[in-house]
Amino acid sequence: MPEIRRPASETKTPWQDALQAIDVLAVRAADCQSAARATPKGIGIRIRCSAGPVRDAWIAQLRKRLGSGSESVRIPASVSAEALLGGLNIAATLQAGRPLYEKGVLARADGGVVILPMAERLEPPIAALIAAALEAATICDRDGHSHRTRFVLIALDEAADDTECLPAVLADRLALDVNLEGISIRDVDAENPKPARTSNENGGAPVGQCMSQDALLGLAELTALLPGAPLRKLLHTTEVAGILAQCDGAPDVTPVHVRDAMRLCLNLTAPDDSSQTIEDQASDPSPPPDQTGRPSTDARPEDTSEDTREIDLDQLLADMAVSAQAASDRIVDEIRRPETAKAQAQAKTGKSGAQKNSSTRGRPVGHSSRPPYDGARPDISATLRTAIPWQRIRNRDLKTKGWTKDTRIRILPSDFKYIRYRHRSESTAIFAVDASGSTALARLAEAKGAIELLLADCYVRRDNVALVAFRGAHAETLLEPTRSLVRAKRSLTGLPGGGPTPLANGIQRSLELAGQARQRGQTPLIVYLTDGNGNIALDGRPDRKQAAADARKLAEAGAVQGFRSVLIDIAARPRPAAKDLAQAMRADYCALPHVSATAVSTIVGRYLSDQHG
Amino acid sequence: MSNPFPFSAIVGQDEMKHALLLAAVEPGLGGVLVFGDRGTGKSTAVRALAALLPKISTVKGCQYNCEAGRPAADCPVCNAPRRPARHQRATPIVDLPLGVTEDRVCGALDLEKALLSGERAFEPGLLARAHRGFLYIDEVNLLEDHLVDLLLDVAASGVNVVEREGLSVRHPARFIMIGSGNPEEGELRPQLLDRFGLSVDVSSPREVSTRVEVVRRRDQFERDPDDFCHRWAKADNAIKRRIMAARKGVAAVAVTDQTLALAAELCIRLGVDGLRGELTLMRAARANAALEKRNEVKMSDIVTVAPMALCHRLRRDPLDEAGSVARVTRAIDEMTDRPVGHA
Repeated sequence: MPEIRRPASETKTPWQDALQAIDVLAVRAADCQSAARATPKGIGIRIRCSAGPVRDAWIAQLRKRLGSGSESVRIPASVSAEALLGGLNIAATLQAGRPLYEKGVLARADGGVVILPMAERLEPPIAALIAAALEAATICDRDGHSHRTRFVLIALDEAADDTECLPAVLADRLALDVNLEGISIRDVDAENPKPARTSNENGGAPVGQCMSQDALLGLAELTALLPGAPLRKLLHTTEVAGILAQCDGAPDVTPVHVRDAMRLCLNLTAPDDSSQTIEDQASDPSPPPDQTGRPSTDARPEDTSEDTREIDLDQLLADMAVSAQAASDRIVDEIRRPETAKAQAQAKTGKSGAQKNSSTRGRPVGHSSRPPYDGARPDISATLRTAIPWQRIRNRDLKTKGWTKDTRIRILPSDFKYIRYRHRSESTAIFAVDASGSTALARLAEAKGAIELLLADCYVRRDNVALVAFRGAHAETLLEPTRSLVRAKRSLTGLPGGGPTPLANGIQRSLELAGQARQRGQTPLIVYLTDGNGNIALDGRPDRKQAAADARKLAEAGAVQGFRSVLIDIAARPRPAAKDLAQAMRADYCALPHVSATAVSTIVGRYLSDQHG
Repeated sequence: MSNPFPFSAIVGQDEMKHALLLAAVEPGLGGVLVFGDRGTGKSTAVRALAALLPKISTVKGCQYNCEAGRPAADCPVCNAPRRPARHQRATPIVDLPLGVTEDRVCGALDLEKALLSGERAFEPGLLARAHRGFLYIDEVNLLEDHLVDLLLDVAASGVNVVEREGLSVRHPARFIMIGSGNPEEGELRPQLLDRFGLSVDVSSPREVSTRVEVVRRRDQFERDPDDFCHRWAKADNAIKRRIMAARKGVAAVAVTDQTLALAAELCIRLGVDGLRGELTLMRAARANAALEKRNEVKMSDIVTVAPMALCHRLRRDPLDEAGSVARVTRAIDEMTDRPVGHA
């Protein structure tokens, strides 16, 4: 087997990785500034870290590296599309008395750095605009002028837990992905940054290093292993490997560059790389059989000019393939995990946090002097009505400001009146299904059927559906609130059933979901399918009495929060327990001994349309 | 604006490219919906297609893309007493961004003119700009409801009617709608789904050779776009000529009763609501025949286009696990008496 010679200095710390990312960014930033290259495009990086000294240090380092030539623009997550794109500046136009256009933030950032703090809070439409500017390197403002936008985009992803994440439309277009979390500030201080080496300082460093055929093949295979087989990741990795080679002044892309690029772009480390010990490398298992079916020719490029850093490409790729497979499995597991699935569902549909209290449609409910949503246009008649009483005063006043053109009416930005709208919010039906006992499978299957039936015809009502199943020790969210039938079908394929009944936990989980739905401005409806008999207490102990008490307590808590709920009693012979529980949670009670998907979906459908009506 | 990536240089995704070509040949089809993974070249293909289309002849300064000689009733430029100069311009391809406002889409009072000179003028929106061209909606399934309503109405009638702020304007807005999106992020409203003539699913290529080729061409393109486009110009021109020829020929393509019967039977068998399915199927088959330089629709045309024309029109059956494309092919196989793959 090929021996891996890796000097101790070769194992890189996360901070060194981060610095290497700076190198890559610096090269691109230089390209962006100079108009020499034909189509320089911007580059994006995703920094996963909460605000802190390490991140500040990284940004400071980047600033130092880029020098004073590039300005940085900070774009808040709450930025409006208008501000991003630019166009006619109405306020300035009115003041000046002639049309004044203003460049959007993105156009102003051309050739510089864009910093997106709290990028995980970006709304998908805004993220899509930024992503388009990054990728196309030009944007078209609201008035149809096109501007160049070549910049280095730094998306600071501060997602603390899995409930929020960067909108996929942007995340997919960010080439680099660096995690600063877990780096100690001491590591940062100890680091003496190596002197800047950009392509300029290398003088005649060859631009456009070529990657060997094998490396490209290997990378293509590797990215195909990742979930979704992202093609952009492949493009980005090859690009970054080329830039890294350019940084080193190497004529060709060596396996070292490929490895570093994979680490920076795909967050992949070779299995022995993470352990960072020489012993581990000594006991490195023999390379896995060439699982990819690549001809195992000696792929070592002839030119490995960089000092002793010489690693075998085949070995590297095999290692990485294992790693990618593991990462892929990990990611798939993550997606299966309810919490993350939720985060993605939220991030993708753009409802994380940010309660929407101003609507762009619906019934008009009066005027306001502030735009109720981005891009609102003033209501002309109301604006004129506001402006007219002031005309006599303004005519005198504005003459002194040099308004000579005779317009009949002077309007100032303060006169603007906007129409506010209100429309009904959407609903979320949360199914809490008792999956315990012998009839569990049938019951769950009917609940699943009911969900799919509801989803199949609920688009018009804009309803979301979620499913909580409780069995065994605790409740499980099988389906996060979703409107997508595709997604529901996928999440519902496996149906666990049987075991004892953790009713209290089921109620708790449903209430949590309902609370989240309400936070997003939706109206939750909880549908319990149970016989009202729990035998697992909230703490997971099998204690029938405690279980009943817990369930009751939670039911009352739910009643206090005022969630609308229905309890469908699915016991073959309905007993008072369920009815009592329904009373405690102030739910409507409905006995349905022969539960069927259509009956459940009819009942729930009626409740949902009631909410709308 | 620099050159777009050449259409012919797009690796794979044949079904998507085919659907786009059909839509370009027969504007009556009602556009294409491309659903699938990110990074599969959806936007690239749409932009590349625009470069292939013939220039349209219009009037200088006209904001409604009026056809020369047949102006819209409310167009101030084309209806001017002096005969305006004509010119040729590229087929418009208009992006409908997600966060766009209703004013921007359908047009509204020109605030600039209203405020500065007190003149009440209409400022045409994106729909006017997309007239006789393409309207491209990325992430179409995330589009706000009120915009979907608006688009549905305009796409159905081909006319944009604006009644607001004391303005009353109507102008033609016939465009080819191209939507793309990722189905996992949400469903598309059935009515809007129905407006799209063709629907194709795309997925990331998994074969290594394809992926490598994508990287290689992208790299070549980025290094020297002009040279790259020059090298693919021949292939692109061939497609361009094919589209032009097909556009001319499509009207003359004959549809026999037999093929119509096949189309109708297919729709009945699949339980497609309404007649739009048959109409689209027939138009797509005609466009396909025209693209293949024939003047008669064959059975094979129907079979080729049926999956894209019908798969999004099937009534969604939550209990059927098979994909809709599979259902269409199954129905075709049953009807044409060909052996069904697994006997």
